[in-house]
Amino acid sequence: MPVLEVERCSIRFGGVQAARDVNVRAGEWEIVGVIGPNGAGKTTTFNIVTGFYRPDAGRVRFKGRDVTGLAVHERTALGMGRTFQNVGLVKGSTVRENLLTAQHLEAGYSALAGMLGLPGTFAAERRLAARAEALAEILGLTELLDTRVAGLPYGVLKRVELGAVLATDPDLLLLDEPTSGMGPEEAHAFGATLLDLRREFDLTVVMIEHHVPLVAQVCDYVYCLNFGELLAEGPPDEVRSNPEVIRAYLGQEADEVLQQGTS
Amino acid sequence: MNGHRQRPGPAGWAARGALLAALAGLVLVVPAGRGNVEVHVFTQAAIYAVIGLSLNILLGYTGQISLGHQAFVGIGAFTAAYMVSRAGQPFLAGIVMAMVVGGLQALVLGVVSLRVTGLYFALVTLAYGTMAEESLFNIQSLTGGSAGQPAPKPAGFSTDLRYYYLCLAFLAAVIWVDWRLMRTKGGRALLAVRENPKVAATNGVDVKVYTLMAFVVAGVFAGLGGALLAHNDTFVVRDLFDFQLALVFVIMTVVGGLRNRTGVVLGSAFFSLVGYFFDKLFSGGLHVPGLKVLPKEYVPIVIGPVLLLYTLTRHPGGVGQQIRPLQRWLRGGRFSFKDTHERDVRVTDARA
Repeated sequence: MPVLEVERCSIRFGGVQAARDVNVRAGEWEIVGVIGPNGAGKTTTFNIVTGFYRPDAGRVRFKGRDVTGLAVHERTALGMGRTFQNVGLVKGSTVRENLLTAQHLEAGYSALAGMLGLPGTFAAERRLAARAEALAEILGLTELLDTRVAGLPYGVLKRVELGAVLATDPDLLLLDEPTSGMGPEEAHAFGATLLDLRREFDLTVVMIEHHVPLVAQVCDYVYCLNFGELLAEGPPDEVRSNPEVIRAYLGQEADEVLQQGTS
Repeated sequence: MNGHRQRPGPAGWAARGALLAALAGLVLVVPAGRGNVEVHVFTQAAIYAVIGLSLNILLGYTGQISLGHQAFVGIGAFTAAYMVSRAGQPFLAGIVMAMVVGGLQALVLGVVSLRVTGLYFALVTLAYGTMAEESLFNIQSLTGGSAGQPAPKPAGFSTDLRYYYLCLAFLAAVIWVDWRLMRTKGGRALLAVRENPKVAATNGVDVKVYTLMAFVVAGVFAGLGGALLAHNDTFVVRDLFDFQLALVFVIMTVVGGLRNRTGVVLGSAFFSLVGYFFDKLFSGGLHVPGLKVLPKEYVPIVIGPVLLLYTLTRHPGGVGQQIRPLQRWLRGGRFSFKDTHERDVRVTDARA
């Protein structure tokens, strides 16, 4: 059974068809890449999957269950985890506080019990704190636990965000440009980390990614979007050599230039 | 955050303990030797701290301004007074009812805040406060009209001093709840919602439910504050709960320092006591060298804005930021002014 099925999802914002009949599937343990030029509808698709947008048509199924009508936090509860292009963290809080905030659904006590300071909540908080520290250890953030997020460099923020998403205990990880701002070597190292994390946390991954070598390194399957529509899909090598995909990336003018050059 | 921090020796800890004991003594012992009028003022300071913590939940934790907090507090006061003097209920029942009613009215405003935000929500709260003043507070049976509603002090706490200690106990309970709130998932969820609702939802927080929760908790605190205020004055008069009071509440919370528990408590107490102290200090007016004497009644008008401007421009984190060196020292750190002048407290609270 696929973990994620996006079936013929369409959404329109005023005059812009941001997504039309988009299909995306991710099987258990797969790493699926979503590529495409700017404005192709990649993040829009993520927003449909996670529940920020409700599609005009189409369904989203998660672990076999239709989640199209569910709110964002309900999908998180079912096991969806997502990172943001511009880093989804509580910037005024420390790394530790962010890792605790992300364990909202793991707390095991009600907010009311927490604020009354009922006996069990202290032990639960110690448990959450230990888990936050363990996650920080895995991602090499131990030194930064008490540092406020706001001042940290971009690459570190991405790592903190990954830690926070993992803290929500997801089955499906949706990564929106996880390597943006990274050089080729860092991106390659991230690929290795991702493969480790998949094994360790039992994850299915869907990622929007621009580093083609990274996509080729880790992805089992790739979807290419353009102008809100699915342009191509298949194994990474196949999609990469697809002439339509190349044209979408280089643009129509480049295409004409090429043709003029040959005539 | 370097790992090797110097810890104080036994003498250092003793000094810290002595200061803490002195502060506790100031709060617990000093009012004991005072007359009823003064104790009444100190009690009001403790109650204002409760109200400040209530407003801090909205203003600080959720980033929603309330310009109608005088109504929140006033409805609590009249509910408690009505329960005791009209419905013949005991003191505690009045307190509980004031908290329930406070929570319910805040819930209604919370529902509105889900639709209307920023400046517009501030206007809604302003309208709500005015509406309460003009309509609810004119209900004869609830408020006793312009004569007011009696709210005698509870049995066993009938002296001003005993009632002062009772209010301190309630303040301690509110501080406890506020402390645990911010150390557990509810408070973390609120901070996340305030800063970025999308991130909060992605973390599994039901943004609507937690926004409403914040309003209810703030309303319960405000209702409690109102009830305590009623019994402190032993007579509730509707004229007390005007818009000016709402402004005092907002100012004392902001000057205290949003999201800073100790700062809010101190700021609220300060604003409650300031009139009394000004009266005492400047009973003969303020003598400005080379100038004439500033008459007594004008002193607050001059000194108030000066203090306010000084705090908000030099210390955007308010009293909470000003006392930080002392707090750090009490916890065993070094006494330094290193981050009191730093602009590390960002003014991100104006959502309008």
